[in-house]
Amino acid sequence: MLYVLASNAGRVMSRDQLMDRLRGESLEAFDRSIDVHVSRIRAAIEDDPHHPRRIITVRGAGYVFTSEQD
Amino acid sequence: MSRLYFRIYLYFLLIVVSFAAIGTVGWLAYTHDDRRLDRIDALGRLMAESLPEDGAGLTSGLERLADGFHVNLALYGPDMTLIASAGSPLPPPPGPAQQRRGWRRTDVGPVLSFRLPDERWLLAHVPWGPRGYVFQLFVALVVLSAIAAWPLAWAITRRLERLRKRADALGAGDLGARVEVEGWDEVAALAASFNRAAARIESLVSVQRTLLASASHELRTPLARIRVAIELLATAPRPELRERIERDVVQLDNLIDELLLASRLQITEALEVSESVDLLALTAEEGARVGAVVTGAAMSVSGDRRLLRHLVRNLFENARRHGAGTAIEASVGDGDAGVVLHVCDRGPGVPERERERIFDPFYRTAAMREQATGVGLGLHLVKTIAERHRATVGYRPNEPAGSCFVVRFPPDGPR
Repeated sequence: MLYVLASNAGRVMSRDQLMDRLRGESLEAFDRSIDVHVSRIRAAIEDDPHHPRRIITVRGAGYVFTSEQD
Repeated sequence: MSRLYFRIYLYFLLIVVSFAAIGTVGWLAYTHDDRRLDRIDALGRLMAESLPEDGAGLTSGLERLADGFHVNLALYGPDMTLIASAGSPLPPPPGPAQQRRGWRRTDVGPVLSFRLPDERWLLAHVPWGPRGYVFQLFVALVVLSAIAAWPLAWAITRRLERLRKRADALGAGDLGARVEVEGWDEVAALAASFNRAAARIESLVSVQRTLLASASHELRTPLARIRVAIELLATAPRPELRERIERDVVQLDNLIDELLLASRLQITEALEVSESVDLLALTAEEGARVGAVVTGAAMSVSGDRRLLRHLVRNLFENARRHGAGTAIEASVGDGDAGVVLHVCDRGPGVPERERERIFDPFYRTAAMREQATGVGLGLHLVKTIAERHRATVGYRPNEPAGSCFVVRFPPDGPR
């Protein structure tokens, strides 16, 4: 999922789009919501998971992996 | 300069002289045509048929012909004795018989000689005959053209000379130098082009000058603070001083970035790159920096990603700075035509009388001047970048309080 987000950096990915891309992967227990996975990834990669700078929520649209380099 | 003047004049003279030369060659070719003598002989035979052999009828016949053709006529016998004449008498043709036919020059002007079938000679003198008249016309034409070409060449080169003087003045530093545009020809078009170029140079230089003046002023403030902080650090190593220096350095860095971007955007009109940019993602990324709530649908605009990021960042920075800590909201959506970006805060907003000017370069609102924050370049850059993308940027008050900046992108992208 991090790979899907990162390879589409700078593009807003909706939850449906993320689901579609991930269906092929035989991830166990993927019935849980995308949001939970996002918060897990955030906990792993963000300096401050409460103020995410890498995976950003766009309310009503989905998530975007930041394309910024700095 | 004078060389062009003379060249135009000489070309003109050359053309006129060429015409005269072609006319002369044509005339000479006609006069050396053999069939011309046949025609003269045929004309002589016709006239001989209309003339009686001798007596009183001969003179009256000659007079009738002379009246009809408006010429002076003289009839000579084969032995060159004058038989009869009408009008002023003409000298007899000299030389061998075969060479007497045709036109020849005499003291009274050109004379045409016919040899009649009965060996008599009929001489016709045309007052102001064709050859003399044409030559005079040629001479008059050449002289008139030579005279007329002088002011013409002068008129063309005079305006060029004036343009040259103005260009020299511009080059010497007089940026207000302009040329009067006269007429609708190429020289006038050149003058208009010169004026446009001069106006552009003048405005560019004036903007750069303002930019430089303001920049020096704005760079000095954080530098002075840094110097004081360093002096204080020497006596008492306090960590908050170090932080202050860092903040000031960041501010200087940002200021220089803005100045460079502003000056670069002033010089170039077109976008350097144009790619499809997900505006919602960009807004979300930038919004995360200031803790803004970003909503909307994924919308793409085409343009320069770096410039668009700068635009969005400046709007957020502006909202953060002037929103007095209130929530910042941004949305990307479908407008009436194209993509619309809203960035809103719930701060004090911009007073109505200042709304017109907030996009001007180096304009600072009364509140900004009080707090001594910002250079007044942020929103100017927003406007400049928006214009590069054929987008418009506007201000409207937020409900119940605060500011909203609205950027409208055209539906078909920047170019």
